[in-house]
Amino acid sequence: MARESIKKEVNKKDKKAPKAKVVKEKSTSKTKKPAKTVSASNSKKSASKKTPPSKKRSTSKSASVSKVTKSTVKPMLTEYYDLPYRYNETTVKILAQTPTTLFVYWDISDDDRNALINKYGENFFQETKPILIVHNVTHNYSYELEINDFANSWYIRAQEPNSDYVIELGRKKINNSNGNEYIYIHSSNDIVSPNNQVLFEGTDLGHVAFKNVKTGTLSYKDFGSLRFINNIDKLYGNVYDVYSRLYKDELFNTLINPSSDEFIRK
Amino acid sequence: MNNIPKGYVSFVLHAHLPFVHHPESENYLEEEWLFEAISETYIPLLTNFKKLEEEKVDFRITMSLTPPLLSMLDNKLLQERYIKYLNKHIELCEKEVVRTKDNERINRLSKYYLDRYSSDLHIFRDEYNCNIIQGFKHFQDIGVLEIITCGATHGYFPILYVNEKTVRAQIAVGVQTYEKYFGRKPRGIWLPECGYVPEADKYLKEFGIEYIITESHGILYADPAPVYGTFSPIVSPNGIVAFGRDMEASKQVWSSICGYPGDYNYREFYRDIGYDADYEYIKPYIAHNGVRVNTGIKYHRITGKTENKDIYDIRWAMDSVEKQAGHFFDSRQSQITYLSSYMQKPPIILCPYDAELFGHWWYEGPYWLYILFKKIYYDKSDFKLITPSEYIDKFPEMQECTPCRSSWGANGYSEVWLNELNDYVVRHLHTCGNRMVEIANTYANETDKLKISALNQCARELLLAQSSDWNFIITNRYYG
Repeated sequence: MARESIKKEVNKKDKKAPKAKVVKEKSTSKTKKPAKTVSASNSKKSASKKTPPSKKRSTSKSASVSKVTKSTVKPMLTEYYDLPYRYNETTVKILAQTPTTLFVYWDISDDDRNALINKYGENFFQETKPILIVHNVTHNYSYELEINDFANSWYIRAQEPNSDYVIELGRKKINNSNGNEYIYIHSSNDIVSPNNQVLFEGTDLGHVAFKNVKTGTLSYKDFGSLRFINNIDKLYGNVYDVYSRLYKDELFNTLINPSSDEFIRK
Repeated sequence: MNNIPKGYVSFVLHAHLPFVHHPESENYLEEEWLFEAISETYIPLLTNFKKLEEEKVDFRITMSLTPPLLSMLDNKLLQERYIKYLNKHIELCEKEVVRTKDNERINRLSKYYLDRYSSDLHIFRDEYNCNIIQGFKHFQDIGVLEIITCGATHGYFPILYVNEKTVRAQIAVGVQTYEKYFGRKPRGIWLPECGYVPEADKYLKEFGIEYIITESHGILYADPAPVYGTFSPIVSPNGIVAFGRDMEASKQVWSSICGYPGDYNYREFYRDIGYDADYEYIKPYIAHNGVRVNTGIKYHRITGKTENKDIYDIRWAMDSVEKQAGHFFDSRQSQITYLSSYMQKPPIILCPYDAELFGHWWYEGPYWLYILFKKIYYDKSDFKLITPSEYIDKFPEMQECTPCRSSWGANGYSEVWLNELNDYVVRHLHTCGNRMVEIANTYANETDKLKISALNQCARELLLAQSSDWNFIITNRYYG
């Protein structure tokens, strides 16, 4: 309720406040003055301290030099420049955005491109299409994803949380009578996707490991003498029932930090 | 209070602001984030801790003070500018006392603000000699406050750990900065955004960190399943103790539906004379370029779901504080009574919040803590306040599990810091991290002063770029 009223207020203030002017005193203001909302919940500050919109992202390799007026007395440092579009390094990197979404980005260096052209012919990149092979190492399966040459990153829906993944970048011939010949280019780092559930399975209640962090001594405690499967009720009775009683209307992952919850509503 | 508590409550306040420091100009509004936080959160917290100390109320609280925040609080120029900020506010308040003389309720408030800012100036300049880090250190030294550290620049480990050495550097600098200001090693760390990856454990261990704070599912989804849920810490196979956020206590404070800060008697954050006052009158006190911004002088209360806001009344707000402190106290009492019957050790209810919630966003928050801590000390209850370190010392035996990869951001994982809006930064962060590791190794034994300066500058630039605040800002700019 408070936050709803807060939202309205923000809108109202937006109308009231004069539009943020482009800060003229410095050509570097684009990079210097990002709008920031500090911590708790949304964003009065971003509403009031908005800055001129800068480019979504830079795609140009060359540094864009900002204009410096001749009348300026102070020496002006050219601090604004575009980030490089690429680093000319062959790389494939993955990160886990969520338990079931992986983010992958890649690049092939000019040297490696030329090496491929030398090996497979001048039209190699025209005659092949890029693909990603997703390896789920934990569950021992792989699948292929067709991507395109306009992208340099991708989000991948992964089947399994709590799994070790490696992604391979390669290319496949577009028209090949010998079947789809695959050319390997590079492999990613491996990452483990986060878990997204209580791991009842695989928890042996009769043999729960406890460690004394002062002495390092390990001991095992019995939280149920019967087989695990017969003790799920008991486990629930121990703790997870407590949760469901205490937090009737809350799912484990719906209670989130308000410093960010308003912003990512897809 | 019984002698043997049935359980414990542990407050952890995470104090962090992005590093903003512009010696070249005074016109960057972002420096005011620091000044607002000093006036609305840090000084009020210190003042309330001091009252508790003077009243001999034994309490416990834990705070993370991040290296960027410590560096700013220690910065001479920013200290001078804060004094300037206060003087300007005092000047405005003096004008306000005159301007509002015909409205008794508002006039009373304007005098209150004049007192507040004058008192801030006295406390800051005369009591703490312009450095409030000393204030926090004092409470750590007398044993009521445990200060923990954070990553060097609040770098988000689940993105950075693709090159583990960059995570190691975040931890190393976090620990070094802490030692510089507090003269000892930190026992705990607030993982930036509570971003946990098991790969960081070995580096935490290397730098002597004993414990971390995770979001609730960092514990609940741990492997194997923790038999006591978040009501006991767990220890990772690498020996890092993890405490998980209690959902009920979080909800009572944070929730947008039933959270305490939404009380109708509380001060309305979004009504500020920076927006409400006559433009020509307020112009000298708003942004340099004439944009209306918050001044911190706010005369209205939340009132209800209405645009028609009533005048703020401190006494009514204090009444609400007392009621809500009572509610929180009773809730913990019944929670702990209930839980302790299921557990073979006293449960711990961990309550982590952003420090700036208390005072800056929830104006009455620091006073709420004061009332609550007094209540816990004096009233009959089955629980006590504790710091995570004390809990570990008292109950060192805990289940061994690997915490779940998690964060306290929206939906619990990495979506806030890695999404379609900000994902382009990742390759730059990784590449720059790799290059830094490479040159650090190449020039490991460098003695040339100029080269060492250049290397340090590279390291600083990299650390600043790694701050999770950037990713957050980029995401927020499009949604805010």
